[in-house]
Amino acid sequence: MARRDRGFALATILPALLVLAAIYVYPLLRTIGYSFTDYDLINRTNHFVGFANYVSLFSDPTFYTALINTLALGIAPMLGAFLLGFTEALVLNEITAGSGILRGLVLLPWVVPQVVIAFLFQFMYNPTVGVFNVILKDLGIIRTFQPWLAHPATAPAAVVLAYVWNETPFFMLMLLAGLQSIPNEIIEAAVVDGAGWWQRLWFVTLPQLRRIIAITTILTVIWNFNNFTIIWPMTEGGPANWTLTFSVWVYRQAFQDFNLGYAATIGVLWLGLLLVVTGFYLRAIGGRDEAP
Amino acid sequence: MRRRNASAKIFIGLVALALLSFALLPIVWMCFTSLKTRAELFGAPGRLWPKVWTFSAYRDVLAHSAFPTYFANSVIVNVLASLITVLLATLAGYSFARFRIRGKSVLMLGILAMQMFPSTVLLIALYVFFRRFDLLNTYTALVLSYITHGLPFSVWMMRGFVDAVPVEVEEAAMIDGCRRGGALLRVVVPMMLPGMIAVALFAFLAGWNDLIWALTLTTSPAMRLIPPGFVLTYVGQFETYWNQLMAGSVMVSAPTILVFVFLQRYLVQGLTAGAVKG
Amino acid sequence: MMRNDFMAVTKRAAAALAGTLAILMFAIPSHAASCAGRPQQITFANWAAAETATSKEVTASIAAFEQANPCIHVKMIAIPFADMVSQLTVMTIGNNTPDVMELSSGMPQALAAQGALADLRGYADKALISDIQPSMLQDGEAGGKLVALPLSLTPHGFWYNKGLMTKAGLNPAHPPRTIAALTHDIQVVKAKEPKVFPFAMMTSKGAYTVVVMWPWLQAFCKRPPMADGHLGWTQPCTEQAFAWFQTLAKKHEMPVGNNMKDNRQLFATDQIVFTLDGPYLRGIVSSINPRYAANAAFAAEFGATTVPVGPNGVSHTAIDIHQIAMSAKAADPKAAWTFLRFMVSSPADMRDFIIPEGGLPPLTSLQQRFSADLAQPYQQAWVKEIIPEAVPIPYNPTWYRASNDMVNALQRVVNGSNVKTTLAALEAALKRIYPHFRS
Repeated sequence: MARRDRGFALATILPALLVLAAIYVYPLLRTIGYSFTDYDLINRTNHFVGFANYVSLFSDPTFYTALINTLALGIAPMLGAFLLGFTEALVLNEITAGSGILRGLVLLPWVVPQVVIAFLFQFMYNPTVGVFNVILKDLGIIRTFQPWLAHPATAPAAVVLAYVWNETPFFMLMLLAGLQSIPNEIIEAAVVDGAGWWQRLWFVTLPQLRRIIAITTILTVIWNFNNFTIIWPMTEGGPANWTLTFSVWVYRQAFQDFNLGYAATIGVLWLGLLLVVTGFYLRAIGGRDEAP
Repeated sequence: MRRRNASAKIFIGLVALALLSFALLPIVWMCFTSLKTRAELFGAPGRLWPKVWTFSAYRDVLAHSAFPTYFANSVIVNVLASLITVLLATLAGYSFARFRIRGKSVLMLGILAMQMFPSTVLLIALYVFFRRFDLLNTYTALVLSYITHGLPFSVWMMRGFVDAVPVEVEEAAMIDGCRRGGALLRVVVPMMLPGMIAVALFAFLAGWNDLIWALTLTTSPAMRLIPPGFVLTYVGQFETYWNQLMAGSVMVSAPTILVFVFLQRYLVQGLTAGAVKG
Repeated sequence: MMRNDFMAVTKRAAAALAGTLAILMFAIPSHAASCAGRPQQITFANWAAAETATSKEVTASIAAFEQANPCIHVKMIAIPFADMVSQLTVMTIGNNTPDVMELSSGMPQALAAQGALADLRGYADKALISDIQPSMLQDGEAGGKLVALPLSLTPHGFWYNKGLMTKAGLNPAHPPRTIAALTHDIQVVKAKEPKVFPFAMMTSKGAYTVVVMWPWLQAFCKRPPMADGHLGWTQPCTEQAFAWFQTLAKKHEMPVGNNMKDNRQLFATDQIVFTLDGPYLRGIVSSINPRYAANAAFAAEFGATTVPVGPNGVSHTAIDIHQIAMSAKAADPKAAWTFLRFMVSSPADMRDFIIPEGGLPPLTSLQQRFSADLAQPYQQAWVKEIIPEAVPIPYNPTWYRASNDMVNALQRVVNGSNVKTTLAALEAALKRIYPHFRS
């Protein structure tokens, strides 16, 4: 590369790298540092304690609760949103009249701000005036109004439904773009070969969409893992930690209990877990990087 | 192959209708609730449309709460953060696309991994940092933190967009006497404009959704953004003001919906560029 | 620098626009009384201003203060009730504690531990102190200092729905006075009126759940499960109390998972018979159900008395009152104290804010002075029975950390988890927070 180009490359890349270092690398290193201390803003302690936090974290039953909840609330909504979003994409791909308007309308849940979603669903689940209760009672499914966000079995499901509502359009958008990029000849060839609708879907369409499905699902799972905006106003991790995810737990430890050392330890372990998932993501879009 | 029999058409129509109601019911419910009186909210739960249509909830939100302040703050922080994100991402994306750089693939992978970092984890150290330098309750801290929402992914998106611009165009400009920077500005940037819009939208939407940074880095009401304003305003000690909450929701959703309706194709293009072709 | 200027200008423009809009819409005239000396500003963090129902009242009271003290301007910081402790802690850590704060029981101890609150003994005169019931004063003490004064007396009392009691064949003139009688009446109501909840208690998220549960724990236990350096969650009386909650939940005699507000809606619409709540419930009921807006209609339907006594034999409601405190680092302590004293002791504040909000004046002399405004039967129950018997909850600096675990245990139990093992796990969890407490 020419000398002048080298200077140019440096001058353009460096600002981004410096900012990333300031807002990602620096806090990460500091957080790792805190995880070896008993930094506590209420008890006003800040000493080096070695691996003590890690030891007590592994013996803390809440850690395993949070681990299971984070996984469940990461994966379950993704599955639901994938099924609904894929159906939407297939329908929109078939419809010719009014598909633009239809696409715009089903897209709305993705653009509604998440904090609005959190309160909207909380309102719909409300045990005294919620529309969810009214509809289920009218349909004869329940006899009395239920506090959906307060029962161990229904609280996680209620949260999942809110996530699914929010994320379905994202799958629709991505998969519709994918469907539209499948060359017509491939499908027509399958029709000529006598393949039925299900066979075409299974053997032709899905393999063509493999990459986009991989990216979309993994991105969604990671977004769910990190979600705070919906789950915090809805449940704050309750009732009795049944919807406690790492995101909520770290926030609670750090900014309600101001127990920064322990919060940092949870964060570090959780980040390790996320990097494993990210590894899968990178493999899914691998090959991208070899392009010049 | 597009010809279908009538029953298939009806089936597709029904599925479309079901999906449409799933998407729209909560939104319709939100709009109608915002137009109800408080008495009706408790008096006739579940009634979809209001018996008495009233804008009183909107008036209360605008008059009694600091909503206009929150709104102004949200716009300022998110617009600034998106602009900075676009600027940084365009420059870096360009050079990552055009030059051979040692360790590039490792760098790019590292940057992508950053997008997966949970805010809650970054927040602990940045909170302590901002506190030490007296930056809590400032736009500086908020804008800097809001860049975390989109920058890593944006670098990737911009790189993909630059890749799609043929090198020849640029070389022609450089033969005509432009320097590299001039060629970038005059030839590449206009061609990448859709990509830049996509990146800006992506960053803006991610920031508009943020709660945790805004909740933690600001405590003074004058600096509050919309999401914490929501969490910290309508849920009272004695009662929750659902009609006001829903009126606020409508007002907060409307701008993003409008922005999106006009600019969505750019975002879709940006998000799918890498995924569909690859 | 330039960017800061730009942002400041943009922000000012936006604020100006919003302000103009508000003025155009409501045309509020401003009557600024003139100040002869140096104008001062103090900040007042409170949740009253955060809520439509009370913001008008607290604003009226502050207008009266500014009228009387034209040199002191009070700037409101509205924070919702549930976020008060965490927001004030964040502010204290960020070195911008508000000058004066509206607090609720338990909060003074949490904030005092961080050195956030001023010792008011240096400011309050003897006459003021002796005008306050000692137990109410005690609720604002932390580490030997008096860090908060009562602002509004709002302990929970035992509310009952007379109409529903009559329907179920119970005598509303004799509400249950013991836990045994209450349990009996609950079963009678459930059998006769299966559609209503005979009993209600908050079991949702939030530290407030512990406050609501505490009087029942006191009814069952001589020494509550957390007091004076002791943990007693596994003592038999605590287990009995939790077993009682569990049975009520299992038989659908109380709603599970409702928060206070949900229960108030049910109570206001005649779906709950017995519950504990503050005196302000009267205002909430009439705002939800206009049928009970008139005093006579309300008194005919609802009554209030002290918490039923348990095996313990004494009725103690837990002190859960609104308090007021000032920052240890107030920029102008004198102005802050002037305001604080006004809020606690001025008749104008009682008339404009405390009584309309549904609380009782903190000073005994003021209760007498406003006796005409406190003549309703339910108010008399508070003045004569409930307030004199109220005792403080044994709060400590890390109470809020611990309350999370206590709420979790309660939620597990009402959802069917084994009482003994859940309480043993709670005791173990609290041992981590209070390593020096004895079991």
